Amino acid sequence: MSIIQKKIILIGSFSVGKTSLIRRYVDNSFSDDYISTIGVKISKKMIDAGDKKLMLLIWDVEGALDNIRRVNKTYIKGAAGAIVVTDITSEHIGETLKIHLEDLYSVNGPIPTVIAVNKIDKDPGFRFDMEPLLKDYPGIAATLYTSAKSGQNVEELFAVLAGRITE
Amino acid sequence: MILDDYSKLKRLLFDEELATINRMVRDIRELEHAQEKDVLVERLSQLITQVVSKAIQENRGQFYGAIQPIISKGLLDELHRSDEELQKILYPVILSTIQEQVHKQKDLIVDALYPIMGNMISKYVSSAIKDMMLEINQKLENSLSFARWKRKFRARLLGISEAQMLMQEADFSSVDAVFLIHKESGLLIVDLYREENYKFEEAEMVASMLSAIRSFVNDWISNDNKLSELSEIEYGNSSISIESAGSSYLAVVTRNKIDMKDKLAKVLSKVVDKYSRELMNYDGDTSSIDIADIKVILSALFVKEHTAAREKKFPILGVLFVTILLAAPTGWYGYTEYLAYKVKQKELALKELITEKNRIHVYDMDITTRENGKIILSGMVLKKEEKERIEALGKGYNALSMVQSVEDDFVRNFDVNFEKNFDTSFNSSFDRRYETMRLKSFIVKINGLYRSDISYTFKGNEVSFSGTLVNETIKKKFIESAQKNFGHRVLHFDIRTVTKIENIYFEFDSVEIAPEYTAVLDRAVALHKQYGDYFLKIYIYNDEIGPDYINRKISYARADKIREALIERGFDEQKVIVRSFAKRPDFIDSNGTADDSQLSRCATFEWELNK
Ligand SMILES: Nc1nc2c(ncn2[C@@H]2O[C@H](COP(=O)(O)OP(=O)(O)O)[C@@H](O)[C@H]2O)c(=O)[nH]1
Ligand SMILES: [Mg+2]
Repeated sequence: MSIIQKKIILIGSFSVGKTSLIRRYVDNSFSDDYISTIGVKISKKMIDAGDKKLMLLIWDVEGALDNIRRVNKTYIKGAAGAIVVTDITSEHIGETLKIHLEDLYSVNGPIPTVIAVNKIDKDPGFRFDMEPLLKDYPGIAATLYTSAKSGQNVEELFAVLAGRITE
Repeated sequence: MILDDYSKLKRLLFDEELATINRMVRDIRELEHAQEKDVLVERLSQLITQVVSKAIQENRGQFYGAIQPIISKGLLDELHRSDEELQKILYPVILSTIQEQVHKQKDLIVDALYPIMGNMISKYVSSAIKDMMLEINQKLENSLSFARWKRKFRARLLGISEAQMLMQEADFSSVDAVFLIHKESGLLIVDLYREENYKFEEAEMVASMLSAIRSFVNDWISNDNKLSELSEIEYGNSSISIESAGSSYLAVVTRNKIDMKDKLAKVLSKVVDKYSRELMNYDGDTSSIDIADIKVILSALFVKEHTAAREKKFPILGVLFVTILLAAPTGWYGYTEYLAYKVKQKELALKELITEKNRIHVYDMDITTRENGKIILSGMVLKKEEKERIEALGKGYNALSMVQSVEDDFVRNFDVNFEKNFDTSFNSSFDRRYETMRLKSFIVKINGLYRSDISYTFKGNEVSFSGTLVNETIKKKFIESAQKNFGHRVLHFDIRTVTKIENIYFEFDSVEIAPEYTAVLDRAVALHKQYGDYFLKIYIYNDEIGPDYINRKISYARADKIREALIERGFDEQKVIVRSFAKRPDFIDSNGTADDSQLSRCATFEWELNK
């Protein structure tokens, strides 16, 4: 059976843990150096989704230091799915998620999207109400509370997205 | 290696602008008191031309980070919001500046990009000596035409592909590896190597990375990819040549610095001519495209053409050099559209043949064209004969029919096992497909039975049915049946019935249709045109005044009148069925008033599927 390649992207504000989440998860990747040079790093992971074998090509797209500048839109193009990352220490979770979702949708339309609320190890009880976002961004398939530190929900994060992509 | 590539890159981009920034900061301070934001932005846009544009293009937020502490938040928001505007205004100005700088400061760019390409290419350098040995040992195949026949013959005997054969006998030109990559997603479509030794371990990742670099450089040079593109990345004795078409590009790794430009363009155009549609729609599934055939076409790149090989001087070893080619927009876009148009025409013709000429109703019909122009047909029909007929019709179009029939065993089994396997959550994709199959066969059965056009949508846990059924009785039956079969879901119905036709009443002893009923007749004909499968049954009643045989005779005459009037208006003769009675209709009881007598002299209409 042939392996199907899928490009997925991780976007989110600076320092929320995108690179850490990917590092936890992947089989293989280019060096982190490339992020600072061209603003993106590619990693790879094989995963089974239903009866399909997928090769996820994961683009770690660098956001901005100040949370204002957005990502390079050409990097978002052609993605089959996206993980939008925020973390529980972020000040304006809803607003920044919106900015990134807006970027995503303006390029790709409502592709399957999973929201990762990262660093949940710092406050395991933390919850954020995503309900207001669901109406405007119908691609959102799930919200997961993750920790790149403990590994909590990291596998699930990618598995849920892969499942949605192949649906 | 360079200590901090990025800061070098930054310096390259910003050093000259430092003076401008300082001037700008001064001006901002002066302007902070100005009330008009528009004026502010207007004046600023003059000053920050170069700086902002580069920051925008460079895309790292460094610029905003740097000036944030100095200027007010409101202004920053304003600048941010008008990014697109600014880019538009500033673009022409900065384009020339940047291009000039790229050429002037090549080495700095080289340093910045080095770590990216370095690892990727070093693989080749390390295997260079091994290559040399192989190359020497390789015997040259002479006479090209003879070689070709021999190759074909041998390929047959050995049962291996011609492409493989071609590569085995290639006399080691400088091409080591060829990648065909989907432009937008960076997904690898085909990778092809001169020898197993040259195989990239992570070709898919390399394809993505190469695409990222390509985007980065192209964005950096210009906002308009069609005007200038990264065409070559050189490293020491190796080089990656890039040739792009509308939705894909070719990246070729070579060692001997041979100018491949023309050959790349030629080979790529062959692939694009044949597979433009598949390339455009590529979504990472290589089974959607004829990889083997593309490999055959691309393998031409491995064959050395002595005449075409032009030795080229290359820069000092160890230096990466980015060539930016200013190319005119290519013609692929137009050609791609033309091909897509031709494919569409063919699909439509086949669809017409099946649904119009042969009048086969295919539920959920889908026609898509795959590799080599092969058409794939899918959907569901009621009868096995219909399915077989479609298969036969498809042959003339080189089409493969995957149409299912409700009578197929496996479709029927879905119903048989339904109760046992039923799981209300239906979360797995298997369950959803199972349920979809049940829905489909249910709908096909209903539509076959009532010759209706009901369709469904299935989202989440909700199923919506819509369409038209013949009358309220059947609508009720349908809803009951849907609830019985799919009651575990939230059901929505948007079912219309073929609209009721009003009664026609006659004057005592008259057989003439009063002019006021013209509209009723017209309506009946219009509905008939829309729902041609249905029979219109006309029931004629009388007032029971006078002898039975007279009343019957009058009823016959009235029926004929209505029949004729309908046929005159275009109603299919075969679809009108008349039942004439001498008695009153059931809805009037027999010992009624004069008014009741008036109402009894009527014609009522009913749409039915059977005679
Ligand atoms: N406690 C905790 N720290 C994290 C987690 N994920 C990332 N970090 C830290 O957050 C910082 C930024 O992480 P990084 O992956 O570089 O973020 P990125 O900019 O989104 O790629 C680093 O210091 C990480 O060690 C997490 O799940 N829990
Ligand atoms: Mg990062």
